[in-house]
Amino acid sequence: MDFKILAHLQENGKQSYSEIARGLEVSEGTIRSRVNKMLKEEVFEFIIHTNPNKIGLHVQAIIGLETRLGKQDSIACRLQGHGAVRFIGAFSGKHDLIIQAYFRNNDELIGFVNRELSEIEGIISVDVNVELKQYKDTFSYIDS
Amino acid sequence: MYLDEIDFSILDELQRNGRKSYRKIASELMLSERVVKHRVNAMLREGVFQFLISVDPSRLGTVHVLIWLTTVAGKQDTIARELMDCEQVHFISAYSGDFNLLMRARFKDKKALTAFMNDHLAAMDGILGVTMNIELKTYESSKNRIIRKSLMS
Repeated sequence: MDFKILAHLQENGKQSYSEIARGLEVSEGTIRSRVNKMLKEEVFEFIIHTNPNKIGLHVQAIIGLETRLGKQDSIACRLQGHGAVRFIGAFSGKHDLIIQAYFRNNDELIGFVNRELSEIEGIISVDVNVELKQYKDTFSYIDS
Repeated sequence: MYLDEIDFSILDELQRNGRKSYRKIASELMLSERVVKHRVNAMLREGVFQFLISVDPSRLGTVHVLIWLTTVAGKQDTIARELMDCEQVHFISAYSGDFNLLMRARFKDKKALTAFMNDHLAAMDGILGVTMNIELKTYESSKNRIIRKSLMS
Protein backbone atom coordinates (compact mmCIF):
# COMPACT_ATOMS: atom_id res chain seq x y z
CA MET A 1 0.00 0.00 0.00
CA ASP A 2 2.76 2.47 0.91
CA PHE A 3 4.49 1.80 -2.41
CA LYS A 4 1.24 2.30 -4.31
CA ILE A 5 0.77 5.66 -2.60
CA LEU A 6 4.36 6.68 -3.44
CA ALA A 7 3.83 5.61 -7.04
CA HIS A 8 0.87 8.00 -7.26
CA LEU A 9 2.74 10.85 -5.64
CA GLN A 10 5.80 10.50 -7.82
CA GLU A 11 3.57 11.11 -10.83
CA ASN A 12 2.23 14.29 -9.27
CA GLY A 13 3.38 15.42 -5.84
CA LYS A 14 0.44 17.77 -5.59
CA GLN A 15 -2.23 15.11 -6.09
CA SER A 16 -4.88 15.32 -3.38
CA TYR A 17 -5.26 12.53 -0.85
CA SER A 18 -8.90 12.11 -1.83
CA GLU A 19 -7.93 11.50 -5.47
CA ILE A 20 -5.29 8.94 -4.47
CA ALA A 21 -7.82 7.28 -2.15
CA ARG A 22 -10.31 6.95 -5.01
CA GLY A 23 -7.63 5.50 -7.28
CA LEU A 24 -6.60 2.89 -4.73
CA GLU A 25 -10.12 2.31 -3.38
CA VAL A 26 -9.28 3.03 0.23
CA SER A 27 -10.36 5.83 2.54
CA GLU A 28 -8.80 9.27 2.47
CA GLY A 29 -7.92 8.80 6.14
CA THR A 30 -5.82 5.75 5.28
CA ILE A 31 -3.83 7.71 2.70
CA ARG A 32 -3.34 10.63 5.07
CA SER A 33 -2.11 8.49 7.97
CA ARG A 34 0.20 6.44 5.73
CA VAL A 35 1.65 9.57 4.15
CA ASN A 36 2.17 11.26 7.52
CA LYS A 37 3.82 8.16 8.92
CA MET A 38 6.20 7.93 5.97
CA LEU A 39 7.00 11.64 6.23
CA LYS A 40 7.72 11.27 9.94
CA GLU A 41 10.03 8.36 9.26
CA GLU A 42 11.67 10.34 6.44
CA VAL A 43 10.90 7.72 3.81
CA PHE A 44 10.22 10.53 1.35
CA GLU A 45 9.79 14.27 1.05
CA PHE A 46 7.65 16.51 -1.08
CA ILE A 47 9.91 18.39 -3.44
CA ILE A 48 9.75 20.36 -6.63
CA HIS A 49 11.86 19.70 -9.69
CA THR A 50 12.87 22.96 -11.31
CA ASN A 51 13.98 23.08 -14.92
CA PRO A 52 17.46 24.63 -14.61
CA ASN A 53 17.34 26.29 -18.02
CA LYS A 54 14.19 28.17 -17.09
CA ILE A 55 15.87 29.79 -14.12
CA GLY A 56 19.02 30.83 -15.92
CA LEU A 57 21.26 27.87 -15.02
CA HIS A 58 22.71 26.97 -18.38
CA VAL A 59 25.81 25.01 -17.42
CA GLN A 60 25.57 21.64 -15.70
CA ALA A 61 28.62 19.68 -14.70
CA ILE A 62 29.43 16.34 -13.15
CA ILE A 63 32.52 16.72 -11.02
CA GLY A 64 34.39 13.69 -9.78
CA LEU A 65 36.55 14.17 -6.70
CA GLU A 66 39.33 12.06 -5.39
CA THR A 67 39.68 12.68 -1.66
CA ARG A 68 42.33 11.94 0.90
CA LEU A 69 41.55 8.90 3.06
CA GLY A 70 39.32 9.91 5.95
CA LYS A 71 38.25 13.20 4.37
CA GLN A 72 35.47 11.93 2.13
CA ASP A 73 32.61 12.45 4.54
CA SER A 74 33.64 15.87 5.80
CA ILE A 75 34.15 17.14 2.24
CA ALA A 76 30.73 15.80 1.23
CA CYS A 77 29.11 17.46 4.23
CA ARG A 78 30.81 20.74 3.43
CA LEU A 79 29.73 20.66 -0.20
CA GLN A 80 26.15 19.63 0.41
CA GLY A 81 25.34 23.07 1.74
CA HIS A 82 26.59 24.73 -1.41
CA GLY A 83 23.87 26.40 -3.49
CA ALA A 84 25.22 25.21 -6.83
CA VAL A 85 25.36 21.54 -5.83
CA ARG A 86 22.32 19.53 -6.74
CA PHE A 87 23.52 16.03 -6.09
CA ILE A 88 26.35 14.52 -4.13
CA GLY A 89 27.10 10.88 -3.65
CA ALA A 90 29.90 8.69 -2.32
CA PHE A 91 30.87 6.06 -4.86
CA SER A 92 33.02 3.03 -5.33
CA GLY A 93 35.66 3.40 -8.02
CA LYS A 94 38.11 6.06 -9.09
CA HIS A 95 36.15 9.01 -7.71
CA ASP A 96 35.32 8.96 -4.03
CA LEU A 97 32.69 11.64 -4.42
CA ILE A 98 30.72 12.64 -7.47
CA ILE A 99 28.75 15.86 -7.51
CA GLN A 100 26.36 17.37 -9.97
CA ALA A 101 26.18 21.14 -9.98
CA TYR A 102 24.46 23.91 -11.90
CA PHE A 103 25.93 27.25 -12.91
CA ARG A 104 24.77 30.27 -14.83
CA ASN A 105 27.77 30.12 -17.16
CA ASN A 106 31.24 28.64 -17.64
CA ASP A 107 32.85 31.44 -15.63
CA GLU A 108 30.83 30.45 -12.60
CA LEU A 109 31.87 26.81 -13.07
CA ILE A 110 35.54 27.74 -13.39
CA GLY A 111 35.21 29.95 -10.32
CA PHE A 112 33.67 27.10 -8.35
CA VAL A 113 36.47 24.70 -9.25
CA ASN A 114 39.36 27.12 -8.88
CA ARG A 115 38.29 29.18 -5.94
CA GLU A 116 35.95 27.02 -3.91
CA LEU A 117 37.03 23.42 -4.46
CA SER A 118 40.69 24.41 -4.34
CA GLU A 119 40.15 25.88 -0.86
CA ILE A 120 38.86 22.61 0.55
CA GLU A 121 41.50 20.57 2.29
CA GLY A 122 41.72 16.91 1.37
CA ILE A 123 40.71 17.08 -2.28
CA ILE A 124 43.42 15.34 -4.29
CA SER A 125 42.02 15.76 -7.78
CA VAL A 126 39.04 17.17 -9.60
CA ASP A 127 37.60 15.81 -12.82
CA VAL A 128 35.10 18.11 -14.53
CA ASN A 129 32.64 16.89 -17.17
CA VAL A 130 30.30 19.42 -18.73
CA GLU A 131 26.85 18.27 -19.81
CA LEU A 132 26.24 18.67 -23.52
CA LYS A 133 22.73 17.30 -23.82
CA GLN A 134 20.24 15.93 -21.35
CA TYR A 135 18.12 12.97 -22.38
CA LYS A 136 16.30 12.01 -19.22
CA ASP A 137 16.09 13.22 -15.64
CA THR A 138 13.38 11.74 -13.47
CA PHE A 139 12.87 11.14 -9.80
CA SER A 140 10.74 8.07 -10.32
CA TYR A 141 12.30 5.43 -8.11
CA ILE A 142 9.12 3.51 -7.46
CA ASP A 143 7.93 0.97 -9.98
CA SER A 144 4.23 1.37 -10.48
CA MET B 1 9.26 33.28 -19.30
CA TYR B 2 10.70 36.06 -17.18
CA LEU B 3 10.77 35.18 -13.50
CA ASP B 4 10.78 37.97 -10.95
CA GLU B 5 11.61 38.10 -7.27
CA ILE B 6 8.14 36.94 -6.26
CA ASP B 7 8.39 33.85 -8.48
CA PHE B 8 11.79 32.98 -7.04
CA SER B 9 10.52 33.47 -3.49
CA ILE B 10 7.63 31.10 -4.17
CA LEU B 11 9.97 28.51 -5.70
CA ASP B 12 12.26 28.86 -2.70
CA GLU B 13 9.36 28.09 -0.34
CA LEU B 14 8.25 25.12 -2.42
CA GLN B 15 11.69 23.60 -2.78
CA ARG B 16 11.86 23.31 1.00
CA ASN B 17 8.40 21.77 1.21
CA GLY B 18 6.61 20.92 -2.01
CA ARG B 19 3.34 20.32 -0.22
CA LYS B 20 3.23 23.69 1.55
CA SER B 21 -0.19 25.25 1.07
CA TYR B 22 -0.61 28.35 -1.05
CA ARG B 23 -2.29 30.00 1.93
CA LYS B 24 0.81 29.52 4.11
CA ILE B 25 3.19 30.67 1.38
CA ALA B 26 0.99 33.70 0.78
CA SER B 27 0.99 34.71 4.42
CA GLU B 28 4.76 34.25 4.75
CA LEU B 29 5.52 36.29 1.65
CA MET B 30 2.80 38.81 2.48
CA LEU B 31 0.93 38.18 -0.74
CA SER B 32 -2.63 37.15 -1.41
CA GLU B 33 -3.38 33.46 -1.88
CA ARG B 34 -4.71 34.27 -5.35
CA VAL B 35 -1.42 35.79 -6.44
CA VAL B 36 0.51 32.71 -5.27
CA LYS B 37 -1.88 30.34 -7.04
CA HIS B 38 -1.75 32.40 -10.22
CA ARG B 39 2.08 32.53 -10.22
CA VAL B 40 2.39 28.79 -9.51
CA ASN B 41 -0.01 27.90 -12.31
CA ALA B 42 1.78 30.15 -14.78
CA MET B 43 5.14 28.55 -13.90
CA LEU B 44 3.69 25.04 -14.16
CA ARG B 45 2.23 25.87 -17.56
CA GLU B 46 5.60 27.14 -18.77
CA GLY B 47 7.37 24.04 -17.48
CA VAL B 48 9.48 25.94 -14.95
CA PHE B 49 8.94 23.26 -12.31
CA GLN B 50 6.99 20.14 -11.37
CA PHE B 51 5.64 18.87 -8.08
CA LEU B 52 7.37 15.61 -7.17
CA ILE B 53 8.49 13.52 -4.27
CA SER B 54 11.98 12.41 -3.36
CA VAL B 55 12.20 8.95 -1.86
CA ASP B 56 15.16 8.13 0.36
CA PRO B 57 16.98 5.56 -1.82
CA SER B 58 18.30 3.70 1.22
CA ARG B 59 14.69 2.82 2.17
CA LEU B 60 14.09 1.00 -1.06
CA GLY B 61 16.83 -1.57 -0.70
CA THR B 62 17.80 -0.87 -4.30
CA VAL B 63 21.29 -0.55 -5.76
CA HIS B 64 22.06 2.83 -7.31
CA VAL B 65 24.90 3.16 -9.79
CA LEU B 66 26.54 5.58 -12.16
CA ILE B 67 27.46 4.09 -15.51
CA TRP B 68 29.82 5.91 -17.84
CA LEU B 69 29.89 4.93 -21.48
CA THR B 70 32.34 5.54 -24.28
CA THR B 71 30.58 5.23 -27.61
CA VAL B 72 31.61 4.82 -31.22
CA ALA B 73 31.58 8.19 -33.03
CA GLY B 74 28.12 8.76 -34.46
CA LYS B 75 26.40 6.33 -32.11
CA GLN B 76 26.09 8.50 -29.00
CA ASP B 77 22.62 9.84 -29.73
CA THR B 78 21.10 6.50 -30.78
CA ILE B 79 22.48 4.77 -27.70
CA ALA B 80 21.24 7.53 -25.39
CA ARG B 81 17.75 7.38 -26.88
CA GLU B 82 17.60 3.63 -26.51
CA LEU B 83 18.77 3.74 -22.90
CA MET B 84 16.42 6.53 -21.86
CA ASP B 85 13.54 4.14 -22.46
CA CYS B 86 14.86 1.69 -19.87
CA GLU B 87 12.90 2.11 -16.69
CA GLN B 88 15.98 1.41 -14.55
CA VAL B 89 17.69 4.47 -16.00
CA HIS B 90 16.43 7.64 -14.38
CA PHE B 91 19.10 10.04 -15.58
CA ILE B 92 21.13 10.10 -18.77
CA SER B 93 23.09 12.91 -20.39
CA ALA B 94 25.86 13.43 -22.92
CA TYR B 95 29.07 14.92 -21.52
CA SER B 96 32.37 16.33 -22.61
CA GLY B 97 35.41 14.56 -21.17
CA ASP B 98 36.66 11.00 -21.10
CA PHE B 99 33.18 9.54 -21.45
CA ASN B 100 30.39 10.36 -23.90
CA LEU B 101 27.41 9.35 -21.84
CA LEU B 102 26.67 9.17 -18.16
CA MET B 103 23.63 7.54 -16.63
CA ARG B 104 22.34 6.99 -13.15
CA ALA B 105 20.29 3.86 -12.73
CA ARG B 106 18.80 1.78 -9.97
CA PHE B 107 18.28 -1.93 -9.69
CA LYS B 108 16.39 -4.10 -7.28
CA ASP B 109 19.53 -6.05 -6.44
CA LYS B 110 23.06 -6.80 -7.61
CA LYS B 111 21.83 -9.62 -9.78
CA ALA B 112 19.59 -7.27 -11.74
CA LEU B 113 22.52 -4.86 -12.08
CA THR B 114 24.87 -7.49 -13.49
CA ALA B 115 22.16 -8.74 -15.83
CA PHE B 116 21.72 -5.20 -17.15
CA MET B 117 25.46 -4.78 -17.64
CA ASN B 118 26.13 -8.17 -19.15
CA ASP B 119 23.01 -8.77 -21.17
CA HIS B 120 21.49 -5.42 -22.04
CA LEU B 121 24.53 -3.17 -22.44
CA ALA B 122 26.71 -5.89 -23.92
CA ALA B 123 24.16 -6.53 -26.64
CA MET B 124 24.06 -2.89 -27.73
CA ASP B 125 25.86 -1.85 -30.82
CA GLY B 126 28.43 0.95 -30.62
CA ILE B 127 29.51 0.85 -26.98
CA LEU B 128 33.30 0.87 -26.69
CA GLY B 129 33.73 0.98 -22.96
CA VAL B 130 31.75 0.87 -19.73
CA THR B 131 32.73 1.99 -16.24
CA MET B 132 30.37 1.46 -13.35
CA ASN B 133 30.45 3.04 -9.89
CA ILE B 134 28.18 1.90 -7.08
CA GLU B 135 26.60 4.65 -4.99
CA LEU B 136 27.63 4.01 -1.40
CA LYS B 137 25.92 6.98 0.19
CA THR B 138 23.63 9.72 -1.04
CA TYR B 139 23.95 13.05 0.71
CA GLU B 140 21.19 15.39 1.77
CA SER B 141 21.53 17.94 -1.01
CA SER B 142 20.33 15.45 -3.60
CA LYS B 143 16.85 16.87 -3.55
CA ASN B 144 17.14 19.26 -6.36
CA ARG B 145 17.19 22.44 -4.35
CA ILE B 146 18.71 24.58 -7.03
CA ILE B 147 16.91 27.85 -6.38
CA ARG B 148 19.21 30.33 -4.71
CA LYS B 149 19.05 34.00 -3.90
CA SER B 150 21.84 34.95 -6.29
CA LEU B 151 19.71 33.91 -9.27
CA MET B 152 17.30 36.74 -8.63
CA SER B 153 18.81 39.47 -10.67
